[in-house]
Amino acid sequence: MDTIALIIQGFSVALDPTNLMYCLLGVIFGTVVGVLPGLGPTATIALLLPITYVIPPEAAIIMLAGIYYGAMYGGSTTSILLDLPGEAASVVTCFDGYQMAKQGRAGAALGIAAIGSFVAGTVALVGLSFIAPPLASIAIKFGPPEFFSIAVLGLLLVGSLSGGSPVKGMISAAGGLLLACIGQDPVYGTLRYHFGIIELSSGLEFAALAMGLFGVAEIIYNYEHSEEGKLITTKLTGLWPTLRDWAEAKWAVVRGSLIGFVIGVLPGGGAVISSLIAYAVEKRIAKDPSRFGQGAIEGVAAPESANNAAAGSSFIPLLTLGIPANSVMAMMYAALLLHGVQPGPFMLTEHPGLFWGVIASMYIGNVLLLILNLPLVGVFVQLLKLRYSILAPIAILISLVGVYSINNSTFEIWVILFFGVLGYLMRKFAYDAGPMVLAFVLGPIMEKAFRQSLLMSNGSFQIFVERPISLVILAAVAVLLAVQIYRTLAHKRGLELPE
Amino acid sequence: MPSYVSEVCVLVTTAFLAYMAYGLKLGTIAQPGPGLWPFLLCLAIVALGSVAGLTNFQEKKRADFEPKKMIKPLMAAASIGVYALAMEYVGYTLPTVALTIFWLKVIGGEKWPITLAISVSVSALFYLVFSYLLGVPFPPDILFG
Repeated sequence: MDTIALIIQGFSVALDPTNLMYCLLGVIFGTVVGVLPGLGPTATIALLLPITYVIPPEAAIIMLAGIYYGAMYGGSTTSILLDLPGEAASVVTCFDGYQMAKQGRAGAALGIAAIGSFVAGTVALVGLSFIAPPLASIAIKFGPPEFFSIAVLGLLLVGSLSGGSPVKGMISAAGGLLLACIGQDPVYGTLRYHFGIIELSSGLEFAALAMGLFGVAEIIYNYEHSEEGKLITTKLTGLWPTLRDWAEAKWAVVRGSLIGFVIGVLPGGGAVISSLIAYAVEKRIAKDPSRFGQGAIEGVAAPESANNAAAGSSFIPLLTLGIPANSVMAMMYAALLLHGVQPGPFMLTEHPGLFWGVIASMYIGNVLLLILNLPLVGVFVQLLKLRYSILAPIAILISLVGVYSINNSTFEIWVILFFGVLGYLMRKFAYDAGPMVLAFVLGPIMEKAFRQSLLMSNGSFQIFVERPISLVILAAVAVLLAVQIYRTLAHKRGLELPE
Repeated sequence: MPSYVSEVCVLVTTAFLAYMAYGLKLGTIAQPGPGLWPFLLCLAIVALGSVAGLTNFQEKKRADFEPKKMIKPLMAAASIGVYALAMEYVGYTLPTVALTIFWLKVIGGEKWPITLAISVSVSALFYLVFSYLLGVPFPPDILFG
């Protein structure tokens, strides 16, 4: 079957009334999460993971995906109207979006953000539809050394791109790999790091770990840093950008879409980094860079397009290689595993309905978001009246009761508390929890691939460099490490380096 | 608080975990034992942790540990621990209502009418969703059996 026929098959899954309802729920929930400062899409998906146990896999992934790209749309609203990003990927939208709002052009800013997001989301989905199948067919030929090498590259990129210190990012990633060792050894079944606690003999529950590190940690950390923005209360008019706005922003939308698409595919990339890069590119190529930060419409169009394109394209490594590119995709990975679906190259042949259904639902979700976001922007802004002091207890209760429901055991509440406190301390000491969660997901794959490779080669590490694909990937790892070391040394010597 | 404190904690914990991994049998490179992979990871963490710790020490970086700001997060974390204990012994209802009241009133500073209305309604709603709709069995309830 060709791609078009498969997409049509996907639409028959996505247009099923139940799946359509979960798609709508996901995008609405995502928009709300994006609008509300405090809980980001990662924390929300983590909090909702246990609830998806009881719904069919297609509906669960369609809803979680909707939350992710819905949050990208919604995040722009608070950035533009309040100078307060609803989620991290919308931080750069504040720079020019809020200035536009102060100049009475909030409508145009919100309009270009929504249209740019729609265009970018569509570009990413077309790319995803046509790139995923050939990539999956290549990935089928990968053996343990290739999977090990690609996981190393992924973790290295995640660690170094996660923001903050690359060394701390890598410590966080290695910590996640170590946490994945808890439970039974995959080859001999020997119990590791169970400390005599019977519940740990089957390993840590991913949902409890992720909900703790992202959900609970974020909620309690926010009590230290309550932020309030000043709402632009002027009436929103003219949501459609003018012809002049469009002329100024159209190439920014195209560039943002392409940048977002490429960055989203890379491990460690994703919405946050792509929006930063897209903004930096626009500023660099602008005829008058001084307009940026003063209300330049390209400064809204480019990052908003980029973060949506990245949200779509970050599904490519997950669905084709079984490697999550960022922490949100790690949640998706866990959600698929919960439903007995192994993400990776065989997903396309073993679960075509799920694969193409999720992709088709994203097309539908993008249209739904455009319909929702433009006319209902006033309604979403009203959500900001919901105080954090009310939102936080509700969110914490969802996470505690949700995590209890995984195994009907209060032990999971202790796990979520442990990782909540750990996540809080990690934030205090500037460690990013993202690489830890991602590494926890990749840990079993990496260990199995590492040990299988050594068994295949009778204990020779040469197997990782003898196979061409593995060699190329490890060469990229070496280059990346060399660049990191050079940058660190240069920084210590006080040299200025380009980003 | 100096930032390198975190790396000291990381190094101490990792040294202990490396010792445990060693006890699990490392095997050989051709026949890796169950302890080899975690042991290698511990070595990597020790190397990286030493670099991060030394950097923080040389640059005299400090972490944001202001006790006054940390009171609410600590109260929030402690209340979750009490909730887990209480749920085991007295069931869902009382601990859930008490936890939401604590978060709304004590940590959030909400007024009593809002606190009571939200805590009772949210606790009831979650019970309906999880117990009736999703069939989650909660521990025996001291109030409702």
